[in-house]
Amino acid sequence: MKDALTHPPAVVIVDDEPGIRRFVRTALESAGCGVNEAGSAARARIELSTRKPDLLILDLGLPDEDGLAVLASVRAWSGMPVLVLSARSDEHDKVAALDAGADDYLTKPFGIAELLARVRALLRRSLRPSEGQSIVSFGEIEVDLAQRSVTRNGEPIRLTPIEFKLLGHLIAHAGRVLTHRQLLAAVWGPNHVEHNHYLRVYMGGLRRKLEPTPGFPAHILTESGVGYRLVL
Amino acid sequence: MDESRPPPLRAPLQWLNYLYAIAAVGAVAGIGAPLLGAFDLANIAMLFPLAVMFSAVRFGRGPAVLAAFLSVALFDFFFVHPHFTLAVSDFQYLLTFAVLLAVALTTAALTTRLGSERDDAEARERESRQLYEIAQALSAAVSAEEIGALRAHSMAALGPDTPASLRETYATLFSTAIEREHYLVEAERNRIEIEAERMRSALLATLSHDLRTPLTALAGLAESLPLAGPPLPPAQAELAEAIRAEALRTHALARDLLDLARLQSGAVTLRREWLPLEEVVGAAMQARSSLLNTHRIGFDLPDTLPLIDVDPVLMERVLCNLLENAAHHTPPAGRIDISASADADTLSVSVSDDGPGLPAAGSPPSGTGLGLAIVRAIIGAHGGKVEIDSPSTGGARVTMRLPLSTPPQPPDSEA
Repeated sequence: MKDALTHPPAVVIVDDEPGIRRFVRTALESAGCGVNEAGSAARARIELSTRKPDLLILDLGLPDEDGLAVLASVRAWSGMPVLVLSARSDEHDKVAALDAGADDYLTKPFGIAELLARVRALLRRSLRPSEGQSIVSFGEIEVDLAQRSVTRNGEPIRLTPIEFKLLGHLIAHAGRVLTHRQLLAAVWGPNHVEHNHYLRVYMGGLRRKLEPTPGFPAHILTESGVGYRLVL
Repeated sequence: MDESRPPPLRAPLQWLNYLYAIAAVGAVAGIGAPLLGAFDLANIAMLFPLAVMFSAVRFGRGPAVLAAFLSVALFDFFFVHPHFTLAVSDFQYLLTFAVLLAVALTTAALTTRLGSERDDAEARERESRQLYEIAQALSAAVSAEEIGALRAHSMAALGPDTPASLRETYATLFSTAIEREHYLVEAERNRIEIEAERMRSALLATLSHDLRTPLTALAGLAESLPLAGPPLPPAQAELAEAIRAEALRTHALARDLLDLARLQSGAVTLRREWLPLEEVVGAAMQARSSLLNTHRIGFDLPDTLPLIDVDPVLMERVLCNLLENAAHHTPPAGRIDISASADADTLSVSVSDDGPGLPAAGSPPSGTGLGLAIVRAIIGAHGGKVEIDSPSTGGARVTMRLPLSTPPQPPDSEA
């Protein structure tokens, strides 16, 4: 992370559990980030408006206010990436946070490798947003977004227009989770956001064309109850 | 009670009424006699219908008819020439008699009908008032006992001559009240159940949150130990890793116990969605990949499998638990197979391994019992069942059978 930057990325971590703040701080500092902490929503609002961080890590279950309310007020003035931490295993909370503008989530307990991978993906996007490659490759697959062509080991693969649109949207947000609603709205339009089975059928088709083992995908990952994530 | 008054008492009263009617006509004749000569005979005749009407109003139809005939007789006897005989010298009086009789009888009929209609109206009003009072008492009654007591009391208060329609109305009124009371009790019981359910799931959610948060911190702190300063000597790094692993294991145990409690208390609502089985298998493989990276995994998931209507998160959990079990019972280079097939109304999914197979009957349950109990609870909630066997080829096999239904219209194949 250090190499790409002139200054260390600033991260604010908001969680009411000191132990969690402590280890997240240690992990982020070891990766070259500057870290500030807040234990409550009120403290978080102060930290965010004074520090203007590059990334916010936000616990949804804060003692004084719902984390979603903090997220909403951040979104009113900033597009900074937001990584949500959820102790609740209820997928609806995660989907609500993502649809309200969070960029990704982690379910507790999470490991440091997982945390750093998410943080890197989010910072890469926010620090170099204009970088748009026309050729993207993952595994044996190469996608030429300009030519609208997909090849596996040089062999062309035929995708339907919908499949290509879906793949393009996943590539544009590579590394990040996209909710069913977000993908449906992007590919089919806002009138189809309830038609989850459309998405699942097409995603299954895309996997069978792109993944060597569709039953154990390596790139087009399912986040059950939430959405999908493309890992390059 | 006054309603059960014996009928024979009425007979003397009836005779008394006839006597009163005769007296009334006699009185009219008495009043008319001195007027004879001063008044025209036709005007005196007009007095008699008065007596008949009076009798009809006061004494009823029979006495009124008697009064009508008596009026004609007395008029003839005392007022028409020749006096004090029933003989008639002038035949024009026969017309007077006829008219007098007709007027008297019609008056008697009309008046008694009016009277009986008034009595009916009064009776109806009394009935409606009683019904209203009972309905009011019923709406205040909150228990089946109160309604029962009211019913017994009201039914006993009905006289033997109560019309069937009124009895029917009473019966309807009471059965409606009993039904209402039944629904009230039902609604109250439901409210209490929902409240208990809410408290139970709130308690489990709080417990789950309160256990997960410190265990997350513990695992994370142990993992961050090597990052906090100069590199740890290998023995200490190993200890830090062991602390992390134990914290995660404790977390998984707490999660399983709480989830099983939630599932078995029925506090879990399925969030069903139509999806391909392959997607759930993929999600579970991804979630358990660290456990499975030394195993050989075989997939037999035909492209033709229909969509299934399941809760994606819970189904992922089912497959995760089965994969964990299989990984646990199979040596590192062992083989695990995930296969599925469908017939007209059932999807069968099995996870099999080439480990030592099922433990002998009667052996103590292993730590994986919790995982299988969760599998059974989730599949049961989906209306399916779980079978466990040891195929002849060795190892253990868990097969789940899920009922299939008609999936929604698939999107256009080429859009």
